[in-house]
Amino acid sequence: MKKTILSAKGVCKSFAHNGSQVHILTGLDAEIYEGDFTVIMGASGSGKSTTLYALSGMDRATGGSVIYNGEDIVKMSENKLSSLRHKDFGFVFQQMHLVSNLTLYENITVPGYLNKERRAADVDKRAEELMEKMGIAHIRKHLPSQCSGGEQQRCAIARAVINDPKLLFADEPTGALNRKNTAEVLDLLTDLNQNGQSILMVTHDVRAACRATRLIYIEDGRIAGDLDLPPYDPKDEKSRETQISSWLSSMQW
Amino acid sequence: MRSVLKLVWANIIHHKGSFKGIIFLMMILTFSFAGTVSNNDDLNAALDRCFSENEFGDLLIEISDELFTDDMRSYLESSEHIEKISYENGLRLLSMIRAGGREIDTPVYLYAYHSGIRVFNEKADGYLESTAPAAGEIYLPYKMKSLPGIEIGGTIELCAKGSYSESFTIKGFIEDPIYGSVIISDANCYISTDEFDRLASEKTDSITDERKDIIRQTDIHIHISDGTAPAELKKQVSRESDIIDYSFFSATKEHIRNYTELVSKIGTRGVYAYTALMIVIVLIVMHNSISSSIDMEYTSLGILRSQGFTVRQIRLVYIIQYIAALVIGAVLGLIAAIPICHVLIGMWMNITGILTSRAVSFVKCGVLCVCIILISLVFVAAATAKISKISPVRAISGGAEDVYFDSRLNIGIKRPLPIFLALRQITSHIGGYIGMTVIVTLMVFFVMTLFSLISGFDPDMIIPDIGSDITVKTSAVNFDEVPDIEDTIRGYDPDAEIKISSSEFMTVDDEQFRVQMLTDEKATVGRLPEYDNEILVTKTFAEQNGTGIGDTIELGYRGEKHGFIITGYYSNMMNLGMVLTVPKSGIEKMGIDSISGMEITLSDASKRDTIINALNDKYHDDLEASETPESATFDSMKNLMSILMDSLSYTMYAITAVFAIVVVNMVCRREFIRERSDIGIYKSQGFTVSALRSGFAMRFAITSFAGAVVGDLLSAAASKPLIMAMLNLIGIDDFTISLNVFPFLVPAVAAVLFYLSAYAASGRIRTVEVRELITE
Repeated sequence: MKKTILSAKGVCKSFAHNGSQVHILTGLDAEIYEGDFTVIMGASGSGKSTTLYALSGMDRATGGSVIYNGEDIVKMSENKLSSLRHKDFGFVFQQMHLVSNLTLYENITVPGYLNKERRAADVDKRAEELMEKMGIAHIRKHLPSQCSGGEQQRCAIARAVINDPKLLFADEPTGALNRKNTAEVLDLLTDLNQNGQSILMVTHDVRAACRATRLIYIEDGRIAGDLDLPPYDPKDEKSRETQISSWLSSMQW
Repeated sequence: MRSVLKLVWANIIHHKGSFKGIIFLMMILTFSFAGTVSNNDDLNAALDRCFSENEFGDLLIEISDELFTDDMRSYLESSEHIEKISYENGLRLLSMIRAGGREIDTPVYLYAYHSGIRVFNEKADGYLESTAPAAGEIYLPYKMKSLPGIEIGGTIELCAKGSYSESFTIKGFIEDPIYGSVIISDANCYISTDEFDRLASEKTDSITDERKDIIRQTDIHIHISDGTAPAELKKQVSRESDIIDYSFFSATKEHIRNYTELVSKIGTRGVYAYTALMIVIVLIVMHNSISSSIDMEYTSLGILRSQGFTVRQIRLVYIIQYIAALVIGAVLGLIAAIPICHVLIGMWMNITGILTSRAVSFVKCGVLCVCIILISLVFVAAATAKISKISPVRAISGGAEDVYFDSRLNIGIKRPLPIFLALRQITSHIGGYIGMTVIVTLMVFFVMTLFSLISGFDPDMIIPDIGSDITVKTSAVNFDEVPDIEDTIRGYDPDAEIKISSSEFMTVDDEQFRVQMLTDEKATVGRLPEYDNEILVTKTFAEQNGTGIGDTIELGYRGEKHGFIITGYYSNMMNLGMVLTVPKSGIEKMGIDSISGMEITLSDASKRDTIINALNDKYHDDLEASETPESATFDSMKNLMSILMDSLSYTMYAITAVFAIVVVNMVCRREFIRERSDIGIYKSQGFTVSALRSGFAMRFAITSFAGAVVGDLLSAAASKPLIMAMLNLIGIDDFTISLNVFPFLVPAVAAVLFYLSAYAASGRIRTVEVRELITE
């Protein structure tokens, strides 16, 4: 029996656009389980990124509830949400969004220092470990502008997990990367997941979706399909890709 | 051109660059100098009108009727440089006048009323129809209105022939362009022609009499015909005749004008320095604004270039935008100056005693605005030069120069995060923050200089505090009689401190200067004069006459001429610093054998009345002793000056504070736009709004602290010379800046104020949503 880490009920998200309301999410229900590598897929404009931001508290849903740890993050104060972001959740953006005047090392450690429950020395040690693991230790003093997209994204992943979050969100983390960098980043995420990290990722790339243990398909702001997969094994990549493509076709993707 | 103007308009409505901020800064700048320039112009125009209405000559000589010989008269009347000479008879009062039963130590000169006299209405904001005073009535200069016991309908008593037998009812207050300023103690008063003639014929004394209360004098107004400079003519007259040598006082019209404008000129110099400083700040702000704008709009500018806009056209967009802001600011500033000038110029009237128009000098201020705009134009053109380096291809492909650079000043990020992140923001964009630091440095330097000036500038410097208990006025006590008087005083109070004064106008190189007897002066450079051929001068005198310590100058007085060696400099602002001091033996050597007064400070003040009565009884024919009227007479004048100086300084402090807030706001807004994305990232990592605002404000606190420390140091090094340059104008060549806790508090205060301003200005951080980072 899987343990629910995040539960969404009737989540709605609307935007005002040119004087009228555009409804992106219209009562989304979802359960995200601990230890899963959940991947959200869907056609362009289906609301997958919006779902990710609403569930992570990066953006506030306009209706419904998102329960984490017994609390509804839709109704959480800004300060509590801030605390959630640096203690319980990690986030990887498609465009990396590293702070441009901090070195890679500083980009990783700053959110760590923000967590006052952790000693600075522990943060430094963890950052060193992560940089070694991500293969960016040799460029630790570089500014983001001096690094490749893959290096920046690996740094962004290290930053996202510096506080050992309960749940890691990733919004198309390979969307801005070339093939080689994409594989490296996916390997890192898979490795993290296989070491117990819960991940919720949005992607439109089937190869990225192959790393999932659970696939959710979103259509018109609701979950239209849900597929459980066994843990990723590189040897099964081809068959896994075929399985997912076939499932996606059935979803009319 | 149309496309350029469209871009300018688009920039303005989309708040690109600093449009409103520059308008506001220029507005503050404009009305700051408009008030001062207009006050100067209005005062000048009013003085011109007064001089013209009173047929005031280019050169004024006041001389005793008895000393004004036919030879002198014929010399003047035959001079080829003189177009016209007009004479006005006057009565010089040598004893103190009384009002409300108290002595007033104001040297008074009486004249017969004439139609050119302007009488103020009750509010002193206009004139009454001037009517001749009836018998027993007197008009006083406006500055006397503030003295105790002086009011319309009140009584003034004059001493004539040894007693206070003449009394006049105050009919009103008049405008006096000669001695009307509060910084001049003398006063021209007007009575009816009949009364004047009666006093002149019946109540005057001879200049040779032992006791003199009133003596007749002639005021000679000389109008120059051929463009000879009045000062040159004065020297020539002094060389070729004895009239200057024998006169009570002589001065050119400009000299008299300088006296009236003295305090105004001090303020003007201060405001000009302030304006220059503000211009520098505006230029720095504009440079930063343009530079940041180009950095942030790199891609847009590249797109414009790819669409066929030339570098010149793009630069023109910036130039038009900023010049338009400056022009609008200047116009608004001039409009704002209208009511401000009305109030400020009105305040000066209390000092000058001259009613001015209170109008804004639009032409002169407009020219100044154009000059500022032209300087800015050059500056904007230079600041936009880097547009030529923008490559369309690089810009469009996202190859913009990184906003930040890797700085060697960077130090690692540690806890507490707000401080280290603030430091990182500063070091990674050092150029922008250096500009901010320079602005704070200039502001602190200005505030410190102003504070030093205000705290050190005691009205006592202009109206010296006599600080004695008894004042003795005399024209009939010889030096050899002084010991007897001193013995009388010490008979009642053995520890009484007695200061004897004796001064006359004498000539040096054909110019007339006041020469006084050494009492308790202190030499600031060199030493005090000890022998009868030694003299102490002010630095102002030395500089203007090209002399120095060790040089010999020749003094002339009523036929006597002797050389004196300069032994040192001292500070004295009487007669705009043109005062020389010689020892008693030097005064005697020049043929002066009498003293002009005594100031007695008692060790036991309760004996004051006894001593006054004793002196008046024993030396009734020779002197007049009274309670020192200083506090009664001059306190209100000093008070007025203090109020004016305080008002001026507080206005400048307030303008500086507003300026600082506007600048902080502009810089914050620019930094906010630059860092909007970073702010979103920090929020996504769990930074709270208050932590981000705190960090944002922290860098301004750090920058302002650094700027304030530099400003403090700069002030320590340069405030005194700057103040001296201002005060030299009025003859003060020694000024002490007293160190107190204020300079040490300034950096902390600046840091707190800038922190709070920046914290308030960073409120827009709340509006940054993490979802702005989302790429759909």
